Amino acid sequence: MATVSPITSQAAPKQGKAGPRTAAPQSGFAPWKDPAKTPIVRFENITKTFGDFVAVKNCSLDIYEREFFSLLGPSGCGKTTLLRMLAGFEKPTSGRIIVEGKDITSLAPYERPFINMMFQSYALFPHMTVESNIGFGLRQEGMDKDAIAVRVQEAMDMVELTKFAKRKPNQLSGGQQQRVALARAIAKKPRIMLLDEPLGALDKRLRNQAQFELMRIQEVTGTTFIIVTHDQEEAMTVSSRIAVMDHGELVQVATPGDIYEMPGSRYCANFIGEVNTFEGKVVSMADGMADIAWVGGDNIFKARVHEGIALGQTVWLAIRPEKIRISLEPPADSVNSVAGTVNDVGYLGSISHYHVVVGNGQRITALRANSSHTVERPISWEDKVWLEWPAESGVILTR
Amino acid sequence: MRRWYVIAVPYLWLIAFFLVPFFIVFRISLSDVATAMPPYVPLFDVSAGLAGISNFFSQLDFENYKFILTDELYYSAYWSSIVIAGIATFLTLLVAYPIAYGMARAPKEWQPTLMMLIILPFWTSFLIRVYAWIGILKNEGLLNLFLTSTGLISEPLSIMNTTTAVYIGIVYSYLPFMILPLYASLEKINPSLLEAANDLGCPPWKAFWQVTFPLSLPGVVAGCLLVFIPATGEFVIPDLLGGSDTLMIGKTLWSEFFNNRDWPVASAVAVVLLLVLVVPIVLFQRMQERQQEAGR
Repeated sequence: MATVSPITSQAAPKQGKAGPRTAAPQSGFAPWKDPAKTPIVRFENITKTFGDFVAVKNCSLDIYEREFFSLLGPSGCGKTTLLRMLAGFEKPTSGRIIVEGKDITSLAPYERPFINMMFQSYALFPHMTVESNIGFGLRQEGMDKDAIAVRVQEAMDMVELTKFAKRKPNQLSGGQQQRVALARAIAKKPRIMLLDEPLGALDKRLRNQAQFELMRIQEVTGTTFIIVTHDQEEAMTVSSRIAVMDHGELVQVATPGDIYEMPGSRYCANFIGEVNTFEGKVVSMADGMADIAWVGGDNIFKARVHEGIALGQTVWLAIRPEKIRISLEPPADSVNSVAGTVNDVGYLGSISHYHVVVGNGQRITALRANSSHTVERPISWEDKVWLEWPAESGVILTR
Repeated sequence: MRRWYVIAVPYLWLIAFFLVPFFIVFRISLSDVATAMPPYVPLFDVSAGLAGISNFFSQLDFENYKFILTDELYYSAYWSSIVIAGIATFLTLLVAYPIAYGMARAPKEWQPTLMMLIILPFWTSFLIRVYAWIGILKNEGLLNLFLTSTGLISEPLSIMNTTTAVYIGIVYSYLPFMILPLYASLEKINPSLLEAANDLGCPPWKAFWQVTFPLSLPGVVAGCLLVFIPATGEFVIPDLLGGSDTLMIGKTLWSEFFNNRDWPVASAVAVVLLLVLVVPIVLFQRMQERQQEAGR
């Protein structure tokens, strides 16, 4: 029996009909699918304007406990504003924020003890030692000295900073400062951790390490993490679910796998990973499959229908580069195939990228693993090649 | 080699306009008073030959210093100057801090204008501004006129010619010296530090004492020293606004010099004043050096 893949998408609810392709689940963890679960954070019709500028437009979002949730988008899309409203630094122009069932919209940041934030600039207190920084939040709570010392030690152990306890922030490297900022927020054992581009200032090697560190800490502490990032690789690596934002609106909210395999729009498809899109008109539909006439040539492409489309509608067929088979021989079955000339080859050792110019001059990217046993000779510049993909691999996008 | 030429200019300037005058004053402080022109002996006479020079040096002594350091009047004057300058510095800090804080938190476009407004009074003569305070503080002055006409008081306040007037004068005159370093260090504080403090459960008024104030301390210390050091030796303000019981070393020195015509004692008073202020001056200089090294 074909499994149904329900995809939560704020922009257009999809009726997943007998879609045989479910995104590969990363684990069994999926509280958003459980109707019995209530979200730990709910944004209800949140709008935020700064004068004439609308930073966040009517966003509604549910985030569940123990999720590692990412707000992803380019600069200026409103993701940081949304995060800051949850922390209490901005007041929504309209809408409510509900945390654990309570409306916290009007509470000041220091009245939200269950939410702590890690800042992009770290914001470490320069006049305090690492220990003192980490213990700051605990001192505000009025904990007694010994209890604070124990908690601070725990936090330092978790981020592996114990031997820097007596140093001041200006005596630490960027990576160490980042860990202090994390420890300071974690020390208070918040229910919800907010991270504003936490890995932005780190170099690539440190960033990869830190990503897994964050995931480990999140699992060990069982805290709900909400992270803001513009780096889609980062979001894909760490998240249980991603909310893609554009100009203040939520475009799609789904697991990384779902967003990659079933993007809700060309914006999402382009934002995450690489994608090829063929524009065309729907010429016929049957058995859950549609025929699309490509505008760039006389090919007709077949793809599975996942949402309502009409005859004659302009749609875009999205194919990921790794789903396209590239070959010097014409394919046996001419469904979903197109001929072209290799314009560029990017050899990355384990894989090769091929940029192929087809039909109307459009460039298509195909990806191929360089397996050691090739029947054909290697594909090179100026070669005439055929690109081909199965009907199930494409996604029809209506916007 | 060229480095020496460049350093030579400020060096020569310091030698000509600080060291030489200081040595002149010091030399006079070692002399004795005389009714003559100039009113001190001995005089340095090269024509008297080697014997004359050795005679000159033998007549110099520290008698004046012994006199100052054992006389009740001078002791009290030094002490009183330090106390008055100290209180005035504290009052200036109290007035300047909120102003500097407001300036640092104002929208960035306004800050240069606000800065200019603080510095603007310096474009007028210091003496005239102190005179203006006489006009405000005297019994039939503007302040009393305002208070009696609005019925807040029935008898005019006699502030003029008291130490209170001196405090007002010092605070007013030295305010920019306190505001500017305070503003400089407050302005450098990253606002996200306060956000972080807020987020960690610290309400704004607590965050001020735990985060903002400690970080503004370099500005506080710099401002206090910039006010205290000159205020101790202040003459014009206690002379014009103070009463006969406002004892400050600046006035003492002036009266020694002009009323008593005792240049040697006056010079000794000046040298001792410098020694008294040596500690805060060195402190200030050390602090500036450290700040420069820290690259702040």
